[in-house]
Amino acid sequence: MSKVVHSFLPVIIISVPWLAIVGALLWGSKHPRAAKAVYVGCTAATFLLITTLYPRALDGVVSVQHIVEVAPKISLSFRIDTIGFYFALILSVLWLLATVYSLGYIHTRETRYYCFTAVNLSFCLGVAFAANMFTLFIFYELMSLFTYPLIIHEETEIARRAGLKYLVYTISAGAVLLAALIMQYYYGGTLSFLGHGTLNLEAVGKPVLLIIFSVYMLGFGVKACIMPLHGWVPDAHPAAPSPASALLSGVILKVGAFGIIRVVFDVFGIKLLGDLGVALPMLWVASFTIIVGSIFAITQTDLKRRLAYSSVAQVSYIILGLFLLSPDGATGGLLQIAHHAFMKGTLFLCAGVIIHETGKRDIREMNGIGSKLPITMLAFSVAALGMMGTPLTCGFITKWELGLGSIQAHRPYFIAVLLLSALLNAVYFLPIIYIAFFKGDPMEKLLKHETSRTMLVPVIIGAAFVVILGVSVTVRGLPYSLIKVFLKTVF
Amino acid sequence: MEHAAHSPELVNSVLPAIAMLLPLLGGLAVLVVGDRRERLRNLLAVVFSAAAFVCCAAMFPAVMVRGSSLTVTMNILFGDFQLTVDSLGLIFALAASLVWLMSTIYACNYIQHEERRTRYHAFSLFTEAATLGVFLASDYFVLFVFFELMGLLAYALVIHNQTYEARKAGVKYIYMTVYGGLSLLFGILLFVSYARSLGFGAQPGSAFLTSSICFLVSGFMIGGFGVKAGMVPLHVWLPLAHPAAPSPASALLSGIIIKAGAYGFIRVIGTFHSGAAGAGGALLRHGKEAAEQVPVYMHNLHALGWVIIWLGILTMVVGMVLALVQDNVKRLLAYSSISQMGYILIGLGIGAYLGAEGAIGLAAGIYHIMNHAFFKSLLFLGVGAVYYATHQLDMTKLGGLWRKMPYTTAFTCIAGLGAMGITIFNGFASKTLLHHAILESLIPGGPWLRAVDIIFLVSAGGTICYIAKLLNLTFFGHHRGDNIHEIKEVPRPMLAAMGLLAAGVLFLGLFPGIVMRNLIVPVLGLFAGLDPESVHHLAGLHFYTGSNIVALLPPLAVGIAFFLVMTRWDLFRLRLPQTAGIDFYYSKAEVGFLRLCFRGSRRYAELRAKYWPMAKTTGEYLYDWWQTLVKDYRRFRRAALGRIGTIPMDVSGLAMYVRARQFTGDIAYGVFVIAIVIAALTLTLL
Repeated sequence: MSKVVHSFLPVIIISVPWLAIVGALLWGSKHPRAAKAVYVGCTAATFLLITTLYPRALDGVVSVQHIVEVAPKISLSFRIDTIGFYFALILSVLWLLATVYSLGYIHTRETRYYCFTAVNLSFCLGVAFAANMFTLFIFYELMSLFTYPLIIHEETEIARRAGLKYLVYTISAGAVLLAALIMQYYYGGTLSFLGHGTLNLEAVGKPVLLIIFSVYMLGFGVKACIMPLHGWVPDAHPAAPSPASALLSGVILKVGAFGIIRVVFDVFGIKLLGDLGVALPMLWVASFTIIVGSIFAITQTDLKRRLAYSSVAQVSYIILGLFLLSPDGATGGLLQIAHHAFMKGTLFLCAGVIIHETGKRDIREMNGIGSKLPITMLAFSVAALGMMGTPLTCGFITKWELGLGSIQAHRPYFIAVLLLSALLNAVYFLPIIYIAFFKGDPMEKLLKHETSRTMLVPVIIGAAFVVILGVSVTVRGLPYSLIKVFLKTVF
Repeated sequence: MEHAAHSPELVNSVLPAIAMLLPLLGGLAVLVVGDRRERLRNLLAVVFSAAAFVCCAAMFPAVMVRGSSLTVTMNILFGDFQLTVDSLGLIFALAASLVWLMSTIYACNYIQHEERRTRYHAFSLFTEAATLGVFLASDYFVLFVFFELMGLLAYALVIHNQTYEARKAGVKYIYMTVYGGLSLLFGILLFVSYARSLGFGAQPGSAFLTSSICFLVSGFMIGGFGVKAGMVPLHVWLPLAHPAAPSPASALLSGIIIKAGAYGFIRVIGTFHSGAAGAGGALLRHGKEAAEQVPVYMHNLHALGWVIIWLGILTMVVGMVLALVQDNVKRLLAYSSISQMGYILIGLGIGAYLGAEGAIGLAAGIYHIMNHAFFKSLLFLGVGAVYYATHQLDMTKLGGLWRKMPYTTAFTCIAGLGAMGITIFNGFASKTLLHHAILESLIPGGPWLRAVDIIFLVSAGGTICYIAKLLNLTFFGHHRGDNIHEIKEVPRPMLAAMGLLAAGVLFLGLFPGIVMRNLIVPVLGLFAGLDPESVHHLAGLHFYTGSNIVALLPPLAVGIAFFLVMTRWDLFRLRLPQTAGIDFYYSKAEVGFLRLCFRGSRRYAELRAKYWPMAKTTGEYLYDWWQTLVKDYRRFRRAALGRIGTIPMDVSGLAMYVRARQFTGDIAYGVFVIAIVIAALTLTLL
């Protein structure tokens, strides 16, 4: 058992983003620049506070904080273990990049946007730090609800329809999730995350466990866009403004995957899942999502829609990795959280730069855009090469680990799914790079007008992380080492 | 010299890392200097290229003479990223860095007339770094990393001109590189699983060495390497990419980069041989008496070799036939590269096929790789010089250049004679060796391999024919273009580069014994499964014997016959139909796949709309329903105002509205939704 330490940090970290509301109230209308400084400042402060937990996470020490007991064995409490810390870290980094980027991108209804963004960060961190399914569920539902204003930010007809679709999907999923929660409490006795599975095969019986598992998958699967529950993604991600899309694709989809991670490791446990035999069906579902999502992405010409379908496919890597039930597979799946966050985040931020500078959303109109926005499109190319699994980028590391995991799990044919996915990624990413750089007129170099620094710096940082995470994998403190510490407690 | 079962001692040295990083730094330096100071940039490119060559040469004493392996570990990726130079890697690295140096010197003048010069030099150096990484890799993982990077970086060279032709070539090139890389990755992951090791040697007793799963694994790896090596049927990118690139880049592509594919083949063969390293070579000392005790991996290698031989033959013949009918000099040379890679694959295949006696096949393949690197790059540089002077690549519009460009003519002819395999020039040594290898393989091979001998003879003749056609139409005769007076010799740096390569061609041809003893035989020591006697025999082989020189006459005769026949019946202008090439079917498959994707998603949308009205999400349906209700109500209100005069705010007004509107379907749907909710609640509370 890992060492447990009591700490006030969880509540503090979760409360810091609420300072944005304070800033908005004080300075939102009269001094917008001061307000924006507060928004960025509190996001940065959250990130710094989370990094103070680094030593504890690397040593596998768990920080707990108990708030209030609502019912016997149901309490609102926090527990930061290594995987929660890892997820929170990625959340805060992406949020920081997106908030800085928003300074240059969002020019209408800013106060509403920044407040909801900051509060959303708070709730996502609540999900990451949750000590039991009840806390997780509360923050999960709040987060889902508070993402709605981000989606309908532009308030066009398309955005409203997309937002409504998102709400219907997510709220229904929330109801289903409550059902799963109730069932788990009734049959399992506890909702807490203890670092190992809490359901018992002999006590509960296989049929009921299968029902609980399926209901959980339905509940979290909507957010984690498992097909066929992914319907909200291709409408919501293009409709939202680009920094919000980056957050949606980069981290909020992962919150759903994080719920599944908690289900796999802390509700059922690896051994029970193996005994239940749900691994193979879930692997098939994940493979189906990966392949079909990529195929749909090929057929899209709107850049953000293409990226949205690509997200649908890539998030299922996490599911694939988890349900291989092997150490390397789990490593690959958990690495995908960070890697895809940076890659897809960079891609969406670049798409936002293109839309902001040229107003073009359709790929067919983007001839020679690399001359106009060289640094942005270079970052886009790096991230796209990462998605295709080029060595020296993080995408390759994920694929390699998942490949090794398939072999460890004695299911080597799932490597074919990964490679087919890489192939399909090439089919829909390479044309964009080619159109951007190699299809224009060389004289267009004169039209070079790179975007403002507030938007460019997050893009460059994102692309830099894609390469850094791909080259220096085993550096202590980077995702790989954190995941290894976590998996030592599991396997 | 006892070379069999000799495992090289590992020596820690930073030289491999420096050799790989120098071109990388050079590329960055070139990017930094940019177009502002062209001469400085060119100088930097040449200096870093030369430094890489010097570094590789510095490793020569330790690796080739003393027989040790230099290794360095870099703390990137998974922390155990290792570069290990053994003799095989070093000869490839030496050839690569030398050809790259010559190409860079040549390109300083050649590229001056093109756009985006900085990008060319930078990516040329980056590709060199990746290529050296491929040859200096210590295991399959490192090999794969550099292999992929090399393929992707070379794209910038292929597409450099950004003409329509270059773009089409680039598209095909990048897709085939990516697909080949995926096949290779699959092979490597399976290899890890079945050989239980990532290194070039498999674990003794592992499934790779003992079961027939090795065919699946090597099949995928060969698929990956074969794309790069231009092996038929995976060669379709080569005839487009090599002509489209600027000539110095074509020299690199044909001269070195496709050899990286052949290098992969050699490593795969070496992995099979590593099974013998564990056995300590004990059974090999019995030589031919141990035929009954052939271990499983040698048996599998025998079968694999048979497959590689026939793939090599296919490649050789297809390349030769298509080279004969080309008018564009660079396309002719591209098909010639395919054909020569076929020779190399036949050599390597025979080396695998003969198992313990395979030294001669492997030596033939490796020697031809070295030779081809020199004469093919020189051919491309020469042809590039012609283009530089005349801006013409069509042979029907060239000719008579030997007066105006004597040096270029001389160097290109040296390379051409090397390609033909004429005595004194380097092709002679390797083709003789290959011929001997084929004759050796007839003993176990029987009648099938007799056909190989005949096909080889015909192909050698065809090679002589098309090279002769190239040289004749380009340089000799009278000029068929219109600007003979403006043509002059190319600048001296370009001539110097070509001259040095020509000297290399002559050296490799005049001193085959030295080459065999010092370069090839140490490499063969890495293959633990080879019979040491056969390796010794190779070290003392005499090339310039009467029988060898006489053996040149049949191909020469066939070549002359080809030339006469094709001139007589004007077959040089033969245009083969599209359906004869495999590219036609690849394009159909690709278009079909994309059409399937589009049709699939459209069909899915149609089905959804037609058969699943409920699949429209509840939200959308509710939204539409609400909107129609609102519109209906507003319309009714407007009409009612007209009829009644006041707005009906009471129940009777609403009742009139309800009766007016057809609610049946909507009520049914509402009941359905409520039923679902009740069912869900019941299920939950079970």
